[in-house]
Amino acid sequence: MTATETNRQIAMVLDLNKCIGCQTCTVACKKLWNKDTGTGYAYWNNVETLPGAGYPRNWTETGGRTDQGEVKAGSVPNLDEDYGRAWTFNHDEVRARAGEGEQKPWLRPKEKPKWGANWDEDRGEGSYPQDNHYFYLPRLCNHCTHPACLDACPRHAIEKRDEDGIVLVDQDRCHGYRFCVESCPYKKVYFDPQRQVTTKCIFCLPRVEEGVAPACARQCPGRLRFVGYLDDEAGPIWKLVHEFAVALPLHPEFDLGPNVYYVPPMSPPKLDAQGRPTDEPRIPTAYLESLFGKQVHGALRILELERAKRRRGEASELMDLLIAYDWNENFALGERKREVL
Amino acid sequence: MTQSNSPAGWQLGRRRFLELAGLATAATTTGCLPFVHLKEESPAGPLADGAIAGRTEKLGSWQDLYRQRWTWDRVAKGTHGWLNCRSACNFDLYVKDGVVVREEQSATYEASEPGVPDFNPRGCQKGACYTEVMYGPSRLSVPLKRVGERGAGQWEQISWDQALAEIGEKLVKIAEKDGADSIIHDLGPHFDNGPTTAARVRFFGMMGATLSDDWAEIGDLNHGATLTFGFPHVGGGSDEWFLSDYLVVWMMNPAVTQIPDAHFLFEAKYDGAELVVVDPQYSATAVHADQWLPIRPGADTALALATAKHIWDSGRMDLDYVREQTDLPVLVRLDTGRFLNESDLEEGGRASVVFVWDADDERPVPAPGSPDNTRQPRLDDGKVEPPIEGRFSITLADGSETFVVPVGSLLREHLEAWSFEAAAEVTGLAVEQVREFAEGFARAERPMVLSSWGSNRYLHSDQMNRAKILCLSLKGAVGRKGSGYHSTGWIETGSLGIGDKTGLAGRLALFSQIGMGTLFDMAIDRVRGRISEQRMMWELGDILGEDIACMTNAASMNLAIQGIADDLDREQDGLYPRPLSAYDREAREKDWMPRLPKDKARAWVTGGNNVLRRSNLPQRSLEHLWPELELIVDVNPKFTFTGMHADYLLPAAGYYEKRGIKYAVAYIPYLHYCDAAVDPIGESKDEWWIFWKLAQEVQRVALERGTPELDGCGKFPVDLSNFGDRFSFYGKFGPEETDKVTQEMLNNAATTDRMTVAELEKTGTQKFQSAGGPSGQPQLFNDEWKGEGVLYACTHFTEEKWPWPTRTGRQQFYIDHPWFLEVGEALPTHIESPKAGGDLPFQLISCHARWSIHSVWRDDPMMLRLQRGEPALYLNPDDAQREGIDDGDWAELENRIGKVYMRVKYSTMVRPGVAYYFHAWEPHQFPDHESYKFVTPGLMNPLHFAGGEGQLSWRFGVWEPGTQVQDTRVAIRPGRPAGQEVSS
Repeated sequence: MTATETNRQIAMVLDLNKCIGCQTCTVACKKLWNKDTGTGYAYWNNVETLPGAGYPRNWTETGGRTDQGEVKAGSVPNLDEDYGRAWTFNHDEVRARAGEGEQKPWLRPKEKPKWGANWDEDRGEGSYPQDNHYFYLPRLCNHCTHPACLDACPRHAIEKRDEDGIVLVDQDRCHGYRFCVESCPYKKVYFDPQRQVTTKCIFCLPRVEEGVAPACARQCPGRLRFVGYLDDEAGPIWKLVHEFAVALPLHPEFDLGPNVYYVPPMSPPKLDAQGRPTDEPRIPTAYLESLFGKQVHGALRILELERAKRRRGEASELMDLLIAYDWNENFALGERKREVL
Repeated sequence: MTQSNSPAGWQLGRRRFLELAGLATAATTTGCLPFVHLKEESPAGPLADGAIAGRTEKLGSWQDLYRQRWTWDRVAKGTHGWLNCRSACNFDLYVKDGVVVREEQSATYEASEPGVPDFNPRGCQKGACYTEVMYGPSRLSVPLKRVGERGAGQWEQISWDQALAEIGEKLVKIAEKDGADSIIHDLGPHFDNGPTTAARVRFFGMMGATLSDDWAEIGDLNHGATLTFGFPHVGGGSDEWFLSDYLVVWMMNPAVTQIPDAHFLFEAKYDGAELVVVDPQYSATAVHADQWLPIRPGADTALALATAKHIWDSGRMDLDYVREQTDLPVLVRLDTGRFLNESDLEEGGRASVVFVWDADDERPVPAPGSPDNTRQPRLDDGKVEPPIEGRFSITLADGSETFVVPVGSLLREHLEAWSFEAAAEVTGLAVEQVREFAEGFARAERPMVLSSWGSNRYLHSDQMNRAKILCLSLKGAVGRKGSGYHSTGWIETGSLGIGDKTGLAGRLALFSQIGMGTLFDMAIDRVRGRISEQRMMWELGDILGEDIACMTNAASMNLAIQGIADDLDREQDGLYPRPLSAYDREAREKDWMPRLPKDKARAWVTGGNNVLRRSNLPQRSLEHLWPELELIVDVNPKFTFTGMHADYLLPAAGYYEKRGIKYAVAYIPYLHYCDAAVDPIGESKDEWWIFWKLAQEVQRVALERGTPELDGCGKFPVDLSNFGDRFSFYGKFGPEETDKVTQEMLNNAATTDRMTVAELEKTGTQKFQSAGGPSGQPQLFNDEWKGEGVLYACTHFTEEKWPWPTRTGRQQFYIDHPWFLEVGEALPTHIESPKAGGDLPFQLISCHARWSIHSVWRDDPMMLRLQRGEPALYLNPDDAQREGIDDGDWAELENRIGKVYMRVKYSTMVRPGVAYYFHAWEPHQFPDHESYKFVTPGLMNPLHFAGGEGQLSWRFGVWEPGTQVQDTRVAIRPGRPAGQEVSS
């Protein structure tokens, strides 16, 4: 394993208790970075409904490392079956042939959709009304401390920047072998068949360099994202990850040291067979454990304890932080060098 | 970077950029659409101008390529002005090489007060990609004229001169022949509060055309709130949600439909509030709740009545508030069921005065705040503490004896049946869950109910909302900060008017149109402190609105012209003592509900509405209304289903291409301005220009033809010979001068009269100076709020003690109108949802969409790719599997009206027995161009035709009949449109 030590690590925390699945993050990212023809199918940032197969379909199943720390080969998801290509539509045909009676075409994808970035939206699991449940999980590149993609690249085209730990695919060096796509267990590296290179989240490098939060975070109307440096003890990241220990990495068992953290979701109580509320949350805690590891129990308990303080009228720094009274304080990236407003 | 690395997509982008800039010429052909638009992708990302547009800057590394993408020439301030979206969000519009390449929230709002979260960064995924629609495949960019049959898709490009000359001539001829009111201006629901709407309303208002009010027809009117409060739009800022300790989201789904505001709910939860969601679906809001009540659809009144009973029984009622603010102490005659009034007690007494019981003197006394109670015009003016329960004997003017009881007694008896067990039985909830909910409500210090426009879509929604408000009022929660009822308030902004004068002169001139007697009486009442200034102006506004324009309510109009009267009589057979058409007839005979046009509709001019997408049973409109129309014009930035069936398509400028003021709901108490970031695309024009020019054409034609003075629906004369001159205020505003028009509108309202266009161009948004009024109907009734602190509503009544604008002057839970008495709906009453379309297993329920604002983003590829590319019918997997339908399969939805096809999507959020869809798909996104609307009759509650008494009087957007869609039933089976495999 290559332990890539960097001076600083930029990180993000996402509070899943505030995520409404609106996908403004997805669109913000797509509009800014990812409109190339070859990556129409690709979403550096996506939001998936869990439980569900996600995007790409069943992404958790391949890649990562062996117990010895070697990079696993994994597999490249299929464009139609697993990602879902960027369907094209027949707007012009529908208008031009509107008069053809029962034969007239209707507006729809020209290709038969088999999967898409949000295919499982609001599907969830369980039986209504006892324990049906779902929640939203926004995902982006984890800018791992020990990135599998970096180790997998024979071209040494992937670097982890020293100044902020952002993981980048050098677009000039990349030859499009796709070992990185295979090896990333989060499936957050995408192949551009048109340009024959892979691309991935750049953590909005040009913005971060100028002290502006990434588009997915700054444009999130749910106000659920925090951005800053992991070692900044005055910033929100350190507090949520280390001080209060309510923000957890996704799939810590992949052992890549992800730098995107999640505040796990609470949920309304399950009902028993007679429809009476029980003490159990709808989202099975065992399921959350499969995503966030054993620490999820503690994180959920802390959230409840701190909420209870506010219910009693007592102060809670954690609740104040998650409320985000002054939203600008969600982002601790130093001085803003470019006046964008 | 080398040239060989330049992706092909970029070159494509360059070509498209040229098209967008209007350099590419649109072909004029017949049979194919000469749209200037992008085929698939907009140029947003790939416009790396340094590399491609021949500039000399070199990229130092591949990273610079990305840095280059985050560059721009200039930033304009904007929002989505001409859009029926209740959120208003300030955006930065990034302009590069004449193209708006992307948009991002400005996020410059401040917290309303310390201890409350700020509003940043308002926006959503749709607002963040309007540029996709703006440059998208359905964009209209040249004037088009139909050359084949209507709806046949055959168009030719024409010039603006030709389009305006032809339309102007047709409008004049139709007005001469069939009356100006045969021209229908179907404005809403898309509209703004800027020059766009001003132009449309001014043009058609002055012309005497029928202005249709479709507030209720689209199912948004909160009849329950109007019955109770006298007005439907209640509630302040969304940050007020944060202050509640018991937040009940009851028929609303803010996580989907109020995306920029939803965070306040979850932040309130972190602050210690209990978040409760009552919804048959496990909605995207419910997933974050502390309690989710999976209620049976249409059973909400039962839950509310049990809650009200529990509040009362457990002694948690705020008796002082109830006595002062509600009709619970008001006396009702047991022999007639009517309110005891002064004419009952003395010869020549005024029927308007209602009474409460003076327990000391043992006699009825005029209720404080009662209409025409000149001695005690305010609610707290009484010395008496009137009982809310009892039974009293009185002597009437004719000497006979009768009993009277306070409304409270009737209500208490009425609630007696609503034990937790009874409510559980009706709602399908466990007794324990009903009890937990009711106890939480009763215990709360600041209970709040969010019940927004979507809460009005059942035939008996009025009852549901009356009952929900009852729970709050018993707790004294309405009109108190951090609690109460949020049905979505409005903040009023200025208008241009449809008279000959604007500004202060215009307002004064309008008064001359009101009868002097009326004006004098009002002035005296005001001077003597009998009515508030707000109330006086509110009523003046109504009188004026009725007198100076030909307004009608759309649902009532549709009943006559869309051929649906027979459908509704059949679907509603047996629900009420008489058929719907009989109520409609009586309401017209008694002049309760206006009905225009007087005869047939002959011209239909739209643009904000998409009537064939939105109407229930649009096939009836196509069959009955369309053939009678001699002219159909769609003035629209987008090609819509209605546009497909129009005669002329006039390309309107998009949101970022013209000045606009976003309409303002109270959630966000800021005015939102949209700048013209770029010139209109192609040949599109802003509406002020279009209608300014069209007005000149109308004048030209009228002069040429010697058009005589016409009748404006019996209210005012219409002179078309100087129409263009009057439209422009005799040249005061030129066709390009939307800056002047906008400034004039800002000057015309107390909420905005210190704002300037120049300043708004820099900031895009500014906090309102006051909570509105006092000249129009959208009122927050908060006289004190001047832009500081959390905005909350109804203090006019609860703090200043002015009476509510109702029959009794109070929040009213007893409606003594004869129609309500006849059918037993005087008190909030649970009534089962009828089975429209037949006794079939699935209830077809809709919600506003996450992925579109009405139909605007519905066909946008970027949005469709984040769904399934096609309309989806959401079914519970258990239901679908039982019917043999796989996820993604076609299914047929059938009832006695017809059959349509949709693809099924599995979702465990959906209650079994419910077929759920997110609305506003265009019919041409379905096989045979037939959507779920083709099997949705849209019931109409006949009681909403009632008039003549207090709040039951027609007012624009306040009281009028509407249509209700949620009672629709369908059978669902595997089935596929002709030529399609089940899973193809």
